[in-house]
Amino acid sequence: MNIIINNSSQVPLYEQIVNQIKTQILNLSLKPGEMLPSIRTLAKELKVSIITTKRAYEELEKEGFLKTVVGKGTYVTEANSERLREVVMSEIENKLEEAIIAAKAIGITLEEGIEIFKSLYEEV
Amino acid sequence: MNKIINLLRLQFETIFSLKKMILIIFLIASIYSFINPSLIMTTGLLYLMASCYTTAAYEEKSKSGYLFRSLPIKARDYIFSRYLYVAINTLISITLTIGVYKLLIYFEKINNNDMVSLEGLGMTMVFIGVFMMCIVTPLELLLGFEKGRFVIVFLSLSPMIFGNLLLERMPLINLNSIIIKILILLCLITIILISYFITSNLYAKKEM
Amino acid sequence: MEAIKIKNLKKQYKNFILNIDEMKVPKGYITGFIGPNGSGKTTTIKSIMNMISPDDGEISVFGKNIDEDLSIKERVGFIGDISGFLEESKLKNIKKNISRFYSNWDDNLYNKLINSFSLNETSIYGKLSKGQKKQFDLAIALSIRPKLLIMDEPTANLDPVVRNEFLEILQEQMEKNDLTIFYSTHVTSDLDKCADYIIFIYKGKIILHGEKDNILENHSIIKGKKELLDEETSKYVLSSKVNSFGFTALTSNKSEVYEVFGEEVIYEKPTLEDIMLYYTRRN
Repeated sequence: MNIIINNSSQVPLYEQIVNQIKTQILNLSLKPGEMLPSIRTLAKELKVSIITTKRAYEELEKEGFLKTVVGKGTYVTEANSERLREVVMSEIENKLEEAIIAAKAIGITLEEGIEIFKSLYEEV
Repeated sequence: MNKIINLLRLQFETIFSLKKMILIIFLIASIYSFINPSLIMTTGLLYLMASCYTTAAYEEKSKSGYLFRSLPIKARDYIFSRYLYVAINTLISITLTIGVYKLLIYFEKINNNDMVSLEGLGMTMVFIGVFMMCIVTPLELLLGFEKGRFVIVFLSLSPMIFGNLLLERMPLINLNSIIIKILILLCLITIILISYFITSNLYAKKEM
Repeated sequence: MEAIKIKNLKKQYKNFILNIDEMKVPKGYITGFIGPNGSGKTTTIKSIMNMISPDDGEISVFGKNIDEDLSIKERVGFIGDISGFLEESKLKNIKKNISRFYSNWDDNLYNKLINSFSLNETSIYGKLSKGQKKQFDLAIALSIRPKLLIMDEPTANLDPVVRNEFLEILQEQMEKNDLTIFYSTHVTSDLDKCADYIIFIYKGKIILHGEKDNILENHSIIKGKKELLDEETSKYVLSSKVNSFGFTALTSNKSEVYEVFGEEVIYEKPTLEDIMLYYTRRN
């Protein structure tokens, strides 16, 4: 698991951790069922406070990405691809909304928009 | 009980660390006794002073008070171990003095006539031991060497002075009477207990 | 239950008064105790350890008075400015004598720490360097397996390399054990990263306390043209520094200040040192 913390960023530390773990779960670098380091170990390795890592794990648990088993550890949730898909879908929809608003503002039509989407999709 | 033993070990550790110095002091004192047999008391006294006063001085320099305050012990256990420490060292110094005394007799430096009785010697050392325990130790615990310097130095040297005086006057006390011995013992115990309780209470309130 | 709880602590000296209404150190976390020299950090810590008696107030450690229940004192490790170890003793003798007082003494941990600090047990305590003495003090304090570790300026006088090692070992212990660390320092860079909670004391009073992350996120350094700072806008900052090139200020409410200055100023995440400096400049 790779997590890089930027101490001078305006983004809160726990959010940085949440985002990076989330990304790795979504692109499967962190596999379902994989065990994550304990809150304290993560705090020690990243040199952040225990509260920070605790909050990050709690947030990820709330969103359904992680699960903590008392006495054993914290794991990436299994078979939650549905829920994960939903989360990612809503993020995609938000981003598309922004893009569509910007496009409409400069007068791009629906057909032009679909063309742009298609060519970018094939490129990436 | 365990804690007190551990505290004692801690304190004897100081002697152990300073063993070279104490040994030298003792040897010099013994040599003086050989040269001038009437200084026999000095041997024991110097050992007592070295083990109690000097070790306290070194502990003060290292600020061992902080250590004792942070250990999981009660103030009164600490005080008790200090008193016990003086008592044990008094016994040791009596033994050493007797040892030197016997040596002096062996080397015929003294005859049995003109020298004091062994019992007298022992009693005097006991009195001085109690004095160190009940007056000097508390003062040095409560005042510390900085504030109490003059008082402590004076008090520590006085055994030297009145020790010999006491020794001379010893024969005047009828040491053969059991009653007198018991009375003296009771007096000493009372003094020790009073001193212990006062010191325990004051030490617990002392600020570091 | 908190690890340490203080209520109405008062202590008066000739030139200084300590007056703490309430102070809590939560169990299981690292709490940093910061403040400039002379603020009352040592006085507070000594009061907790019963090394000085306060004029008034209640202090409890794990719910009890530290001297009433010695089983609690056995679980408290203390590293102060002065250890009290006999300067003339060898390390191994000091350890032999001290370890007897603690029923939870962990010899394996002690040996591991001594090795990682590269200390030689036959050395004489007094002959060690300041840094090595502190390392030894830490080895002893951790080997008693404390539940609470109280430290008064443990890393002052340590060079950055030793200091870093020291902090890593602390974090390692936090990782494995149910340990609470309460640690006063004016070298706040130690705490910027690892502390969970911060208590800031100044002139004998607690002026700020809370989760370190929250404190650092709610406060912000702002920098801008000096014209932007006038009587009206100054109310939103704690204190400021103005020179011919502009002003720098600290605010405790980033969102509020954003509404006043918007994008016309630069926002920077503060360090604990910044926070300490700007709050003390306030008076």
